[in-house]
Amino acid sequence: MTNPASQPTNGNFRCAAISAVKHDYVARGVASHPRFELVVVADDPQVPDWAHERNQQLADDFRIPYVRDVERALREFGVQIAIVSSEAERHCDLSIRAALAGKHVIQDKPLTTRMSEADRLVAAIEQSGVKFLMWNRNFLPSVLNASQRISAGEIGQPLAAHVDFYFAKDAGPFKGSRRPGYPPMDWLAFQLAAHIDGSDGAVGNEPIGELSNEGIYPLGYLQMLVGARVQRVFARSTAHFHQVNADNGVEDLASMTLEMEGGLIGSVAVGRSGAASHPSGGEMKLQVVGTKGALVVSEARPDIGIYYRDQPPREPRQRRVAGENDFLLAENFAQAIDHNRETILNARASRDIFATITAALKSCETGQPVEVE
Amino acid sequence: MIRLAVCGDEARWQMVSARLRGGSINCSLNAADLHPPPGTYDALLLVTPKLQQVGLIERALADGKHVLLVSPTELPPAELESFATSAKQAGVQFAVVNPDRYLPSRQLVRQQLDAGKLGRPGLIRMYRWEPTPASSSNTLPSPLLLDLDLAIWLMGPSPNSVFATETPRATDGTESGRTIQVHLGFPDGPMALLSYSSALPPGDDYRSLSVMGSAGAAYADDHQNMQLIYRGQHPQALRAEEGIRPLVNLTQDFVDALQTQRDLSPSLVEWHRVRTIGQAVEQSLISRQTISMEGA
Repeated sequence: MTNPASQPTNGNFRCAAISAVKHDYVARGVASHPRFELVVVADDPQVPDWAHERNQQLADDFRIPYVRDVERALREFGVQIAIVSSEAERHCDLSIRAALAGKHVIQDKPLTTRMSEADRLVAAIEQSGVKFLMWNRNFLPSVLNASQRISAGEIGQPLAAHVDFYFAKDAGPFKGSRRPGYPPMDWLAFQLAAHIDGSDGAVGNEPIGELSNEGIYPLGYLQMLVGARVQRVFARSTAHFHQVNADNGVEDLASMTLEMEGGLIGSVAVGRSGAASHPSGGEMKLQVVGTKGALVVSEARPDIGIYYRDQPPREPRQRRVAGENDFLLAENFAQAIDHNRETILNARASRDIFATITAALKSCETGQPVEVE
Repeated sequence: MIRLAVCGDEARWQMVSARLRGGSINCSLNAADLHPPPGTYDALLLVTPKLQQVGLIERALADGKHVLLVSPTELPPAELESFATSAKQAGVQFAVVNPDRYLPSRQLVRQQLDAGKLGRPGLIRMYRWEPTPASSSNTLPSPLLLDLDLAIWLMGPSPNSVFATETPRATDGTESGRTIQVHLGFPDGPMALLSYSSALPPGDDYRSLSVMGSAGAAYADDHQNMQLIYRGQHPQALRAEEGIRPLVNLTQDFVDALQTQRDLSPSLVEWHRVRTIGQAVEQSLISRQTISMEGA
């Protein structure tokens, strides 16, 4: 049952950005939908100055107040929706507080850094009767099309599903490029400095590897394409590219072999492979084998090539077009609220994905396949 | 000039012969002519040799001919070892090769790795989907052996761990494809994912290779090499093939090795290594556990 207090007025939703220190693109993406209006930015008073600065920036851009009191913002601005994009370790706490205040929640990835928090979030969402959406990429045109083809039975019953998901981005000095004796790189200090040129990753006090930070995307694809829960996982990971990952003991390259419900198998490769590894942001592919055929899908398509003299080296040569991911995610969320339906990636599915990643990280440590809780 | 005796499509071999330096296809064997006169050739080259051709290989070695076996997945390791012993006694070369190492696309990737342009390989990702229904035996599909070889050839060291899983197979005796996932771990962190399936409907296969290196990456993907043909309704995708070059490349390499007297015996050692890893894959499929290759 949807919480009546969280129903829209005049069909539109008033939204609070509850911390926008990690990505402001989630709030901006939601606000791009005409039914969603960003009315306030809020955060806890004790967050560090850099966090306040980022929140204030978003508030200034939208010409809305920044309130250093989350509960007051949720209470006094007539919002139905909280958009959470804090440091990963605060995600669930903020989302739970919003849910308990009767607000629907849109949350940035990753879900959390702790399994107990994931379980607490699922309980809070389900008990509060509010909707939850983990921001994802499932409505990219190619992914949507693949999902529709599989649902229509064009390749028969899926047997195996694979995702390659590499971000061709740098993250500071390459591994091994610093002189011996240099102190280890501080995770948070690096992420804050890297924010200027957009090469930051998972900002926060807890270092987070690529599997934890980005794994939601490929696993979200699999969840939508084949709809089977992962039961067992074998994984390998390494800090292969970047010194900041190596110094902080978190991976920037990982691979998972998955055993899923119904005998499906699958695999995922994720990495932050360096800007030099791809001309346009990274190789991202979905490959599904079925009983009657198979699909090979480039996540980036449709795209077009743009090349010109004196082109900046970091400007993508292939440019994605016709994407409606932001609008469709927001629309999916609105429909879920309007018709009391589940979202494309709800709290329980997000929790299951986090459980898969947790099992994968354990497998990386033990070298053995691990059952997913 | 090295004179080669070969078996199979004569027209295709003539195309190879026209492209060879220092070698020629002198003798194309067929079912009626399985034992060429010793004076007519210097070396025997067989692609995917069958068990029925063991006698031909033994006689060639006994006659002092060099032998190259391409993709000898159907021959037991003990037989290959016996050939190697015979070759040593006769003072000739005996070698086995994976033809995929000679695909121009794969050779270019290896060259970039050797030149250090891609840095240290961290992840090798391979897909091979085929329309061939697999046999009901528990033996690893032969193409997967070739992929294992290719992954190790590109990575450098041998894997130190092997994990594999596959979709459940039909228990009613019907022929169905096998869909297998192999996960290799290498010392100090690198990894390889090999996705094999023989469940495709009749038609073309699909192959893809990507190598993520510490300084760059290479992508050799059929998806990127498709041409389109429009004949109404949806267009069809047609792969831009690498043609006869793999066969030319491996034949030329064999001829060059014979002319320069390069020792080809390590090829059998590498092949045995791949068979051992293949056995580990089979063990993992049965046990559903990781197989350690430390000390193997």
